[in-house]
Amino acid sequence: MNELDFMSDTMRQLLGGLPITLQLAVISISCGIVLAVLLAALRRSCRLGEWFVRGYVFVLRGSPLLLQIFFVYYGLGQFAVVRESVLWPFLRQPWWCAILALTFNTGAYGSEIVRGGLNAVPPGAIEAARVAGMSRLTLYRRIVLPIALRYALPAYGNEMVIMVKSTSLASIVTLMEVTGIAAAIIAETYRALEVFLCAGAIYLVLNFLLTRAIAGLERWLNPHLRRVHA
Amino acid sequence: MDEDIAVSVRGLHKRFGRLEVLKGIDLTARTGEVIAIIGASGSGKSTLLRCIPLLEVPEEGEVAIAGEVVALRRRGGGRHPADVHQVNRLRASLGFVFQNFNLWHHMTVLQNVIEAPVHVQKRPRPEVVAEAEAILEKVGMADKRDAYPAHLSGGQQQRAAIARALAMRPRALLFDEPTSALDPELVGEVLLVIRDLVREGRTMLIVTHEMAFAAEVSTRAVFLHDGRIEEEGPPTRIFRDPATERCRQFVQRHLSR
Amino acid sequence: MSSTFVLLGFGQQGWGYQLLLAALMTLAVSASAFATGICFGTLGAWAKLAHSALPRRLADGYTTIVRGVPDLLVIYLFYFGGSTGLSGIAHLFGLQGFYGLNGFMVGTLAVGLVSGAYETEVLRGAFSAIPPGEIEAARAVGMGGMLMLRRIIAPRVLHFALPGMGNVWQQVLKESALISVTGLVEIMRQTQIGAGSTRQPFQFYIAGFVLYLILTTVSGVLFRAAERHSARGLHRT
Repeated sequence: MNELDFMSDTMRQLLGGLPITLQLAVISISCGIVLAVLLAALRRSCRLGEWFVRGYVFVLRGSPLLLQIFFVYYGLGQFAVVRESVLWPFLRQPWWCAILALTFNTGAYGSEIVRGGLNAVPPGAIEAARVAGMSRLTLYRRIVLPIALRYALPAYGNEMVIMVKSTSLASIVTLMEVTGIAAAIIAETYRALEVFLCAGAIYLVLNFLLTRAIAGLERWLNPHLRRVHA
Repeated sequence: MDEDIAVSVRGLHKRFGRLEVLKGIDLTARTGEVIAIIGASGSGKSTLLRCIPLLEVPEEGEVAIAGEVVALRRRGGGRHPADVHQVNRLRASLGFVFQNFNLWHHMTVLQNVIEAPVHVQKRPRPEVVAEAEAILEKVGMADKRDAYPAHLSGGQQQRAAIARALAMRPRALLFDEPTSALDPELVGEVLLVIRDLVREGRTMLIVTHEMAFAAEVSTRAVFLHDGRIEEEGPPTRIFRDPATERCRQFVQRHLSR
Repeated sequence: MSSTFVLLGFGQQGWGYQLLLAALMTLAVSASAFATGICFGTLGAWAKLAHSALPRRLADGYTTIVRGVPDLLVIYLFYFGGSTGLSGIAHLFGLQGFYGLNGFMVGTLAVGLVSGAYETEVLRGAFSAIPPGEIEAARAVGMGGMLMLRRIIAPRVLHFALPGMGNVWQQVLKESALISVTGLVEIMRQTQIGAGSTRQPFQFYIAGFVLYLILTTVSGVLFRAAERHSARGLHRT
């Protein structure tokens, strides 16, 4: 099989794994955002909450994602109480375990980014809102969260790119997303470089599109940062 | 008449840690009065002003706005507002202008001005926008209604901040050193706006270092020293012929600029 | 519970020794990859700061591509393709036979290449952060290129680069877990072996967490101490 045929055939096979890659990425990123905001809120709420979140972030940021995936997929199944629970139909499947582990992981990193965004809100803006009589809810809804979002977006965009790449680890627990298929093709044909180029291209395109989307969102949210044309 | 009194504080004590900043302040502002609060740095003048909308909660003493006393409750180490809704309602009836403007940078000038009337006072948007544009016209910022604060000079930002306070239809306006953060050439345009408001007969409390301006527009002046009111009276007396030596020295030092 | 301690301990049935050795292997392959990354990073930073466009474009391509693809793919590239590539190069030189890359070498090269892309940015930023006046002063006293590099530039680059390098090191430590796919027995692989052998994955993976957390925490402490040492004399007392 000549080069071009091989590569186009490989591309076709790899694109078959794209749906799973995208599902893993989109679901874990969205659930991760929700988790990140909840954790950031919990951290500010009480002493116990602060300790829990700090411990959670410490463990999840200090250990490899692969270990976290294995822990959820293989480790939890060791206990009878888990196997007999109502969650077992989900926890025995690699797809759900991967989503769970990916979400927990990005939730930890995300909560630090959200925390940074919240801390960056100028105290003066908050005071002006309070002195105008805004209730706590209105203050957060109209002032704190919009400003925090604008500060957190660049860092969160970065985190999203990392998550898209992290979906590749799901291949190690048998999920046939793009990297999983790539590994299978390489193992069969030993044409590592060609397969790498094809699979790499897919991820590069994904990340390029994602980065552009984030940059566009940043521009749209920040008209006040655009240069003024005198 | 009690309705005549816009703002009153009685027996105000405020501590920050071990430092006692206000040591018993009594002050009443009647409707239409323009009260200039002057004093050296650290005398407590900003703290006094900030106690009125409860940005600082005094450990002792009473704050009343239009005759309504703010309910405070002792809890933990200090006092807290007993009724959050009352505090927010009273705050919405005042207009506060900060030294550092504190405009919301992610909103345009117009959006800054209409934000509180729409979302706190729950007034209908079209009515608020119309009024806001008139106010912006008055402070000379009509052509900047769609500009963002980051693109404005300090003087423009402060005028926008004043417009924001005015849009609340406040009972009284509180100015916390409105020109102290401005370059000297921009001070004038802000003082012009404040002078106009005085001419309208608004009730105002102004903490300021601009002695000449204070002497010109105020109906009553209060000299604070070390957390207490050292001297109080008509501007003709306070600024030209103070009774106490400290006040005399202070005014002399600042007026000769 | 006591059985867990027996399991992970250092006795006859205990896996303690193996886990400890695996931890040392993790440190070793990480250090090796990190050092490789610094080499790549130095080259990349030098290219990015070059005057002509070609090195700059190449370096940009390097960082963009390597940071845009999953590390696992890079590892597979070197794992499956490395032997082929190496043998090919050897044959060019007339050497016969098959030249394979073992797991350690694959890990070093793959993780080194990836971390090198991040190091490029760290070192480039660090070099750009040196106040030009300090370099001018060195020239003014007659320092030559090599001397200036050694006494002025390198220490200052190190100072600015330390925080970024600390981050890259933590990344490398965690990425070393991926090298387990090559069969190299570092912490990840060892816990898998233990889990499979004793059918007690939970305990082993917990042990894995503990080991990695110790490594990352101690690394953090050491890097912060290094940053403080590097900043001595730079803050007003």
